[in-house]
Amino acid sequence: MKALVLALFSLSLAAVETPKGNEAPFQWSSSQRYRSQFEEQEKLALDPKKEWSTNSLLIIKDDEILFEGYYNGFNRAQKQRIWSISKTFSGALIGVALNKDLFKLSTRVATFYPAFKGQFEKTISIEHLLSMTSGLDWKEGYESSPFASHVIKMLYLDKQKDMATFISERSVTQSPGRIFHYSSGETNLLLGALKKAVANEQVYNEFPWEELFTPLGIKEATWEQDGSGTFVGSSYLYLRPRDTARFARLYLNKGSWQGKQIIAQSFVQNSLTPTLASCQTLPEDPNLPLSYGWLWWLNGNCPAGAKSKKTRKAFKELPSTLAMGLGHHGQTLAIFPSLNAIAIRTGADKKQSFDREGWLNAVYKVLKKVPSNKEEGAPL
Amino acid sequence: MKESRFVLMLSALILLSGCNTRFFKVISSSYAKEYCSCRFVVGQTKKYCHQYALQIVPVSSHAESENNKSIEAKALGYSSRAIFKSARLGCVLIN
Repeated sequence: MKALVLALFSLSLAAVETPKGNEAPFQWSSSQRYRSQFEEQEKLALDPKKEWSTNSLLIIKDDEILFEGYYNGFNRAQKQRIWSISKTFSGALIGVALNKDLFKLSTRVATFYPAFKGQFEKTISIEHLLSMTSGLDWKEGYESSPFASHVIKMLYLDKQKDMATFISERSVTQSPGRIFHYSSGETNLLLGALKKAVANEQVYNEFPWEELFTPLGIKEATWEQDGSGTFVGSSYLYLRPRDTARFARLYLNKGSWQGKQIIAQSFVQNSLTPTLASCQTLPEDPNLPLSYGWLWWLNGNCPAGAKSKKTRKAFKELPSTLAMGLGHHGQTLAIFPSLNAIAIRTGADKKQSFDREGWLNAVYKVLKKVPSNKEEGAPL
Repeated sequence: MKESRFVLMLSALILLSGCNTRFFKVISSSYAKEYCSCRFVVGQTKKYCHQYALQIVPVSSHAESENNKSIEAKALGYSSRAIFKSARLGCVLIN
């Protein structure tokens, strides 16, 4: 009798969890059979002589967890801050919104924010915000330069009451589309535009869950809002590392999840392709000439030519197809499309001194030797 | 010695802020917001969250209400409060 009750209970659970199309819910496999090979990257990430601390490390290839570690009292079940990796998720929400015809790439942001006054401001489009080429005056900067920073004013002072309106009241210093300039304000304006386009508070509040998290099987997510109820798309998303990896897998699979196209393949391709403006803009850090797609940092692939200012890879030992979501305190989400692999690091690093490149090099060195499901790798 | 270092740091801050003392609210507001998220969204310990939320200028006082899931912090003459809204929407500054 007990066995029968258990069997019926299992069947009812299976009925609840199995999505349409009878496809089983996605799960990572987790043998960690190459764990010992990843010791070097773990040592680098946990260096006790350094001032940073690492909270989690997760390395996945071909849907198999090769290495997973949690530190400083964190565990697998906890959501973690991903800071500006939130921007990369915001990009995906815009991809969904485009699919749903809520707006177009060419839609002018002034449609939603009439505060844009000037001739150039009125031409700023959704695509300009996705690529951070609006030309709007903005000073990014954190703890090390708090007085000049617009981010600090936006997140912690009066401007937090309505972040999107704050940026919509700024003026352009360059005509839109010409110059790449990293700006947390622009991503918040983007999610403000999404809110206006959705035009229903309840639908907007559920939008990230309905359209992205739930389809990907992400059950625990927190996305904080500003004082006006707009998602802080630049900075305030919290996820478990394994769920952040689900999002990365969506991009590795060209926007498709378990046979369902969540965001258009062309949107994913554009997100992971350097914009002309980012290639033609001198990098703020000359030693790190990363290019930029649609809310993804990219390691290269700028077209060769006299106008390109980024003709070499920023991370020399890593593939040019490497794409990253990067956040404050050294948060890192890296996808290696050529290897079907993902690497995630979360941590606390107020001085921004974590050696991201060194850590990724150590990860990649092992990853490229792990045999893929499709072909033999180099011997470990 | 510790007090003179604090006065020196405060003087430097006043100069750097261009005498816009309203800016000093950032100390209490960033502490309140980040402590709130650390405790009630991430689920870390009080000790960890205090260290995480601290900036170069310390807060003069902070009080966490576990029942209301809120945090109030005071620093440099300003007071800030952040509250936990829900599991999905996390924390928000309310003043």
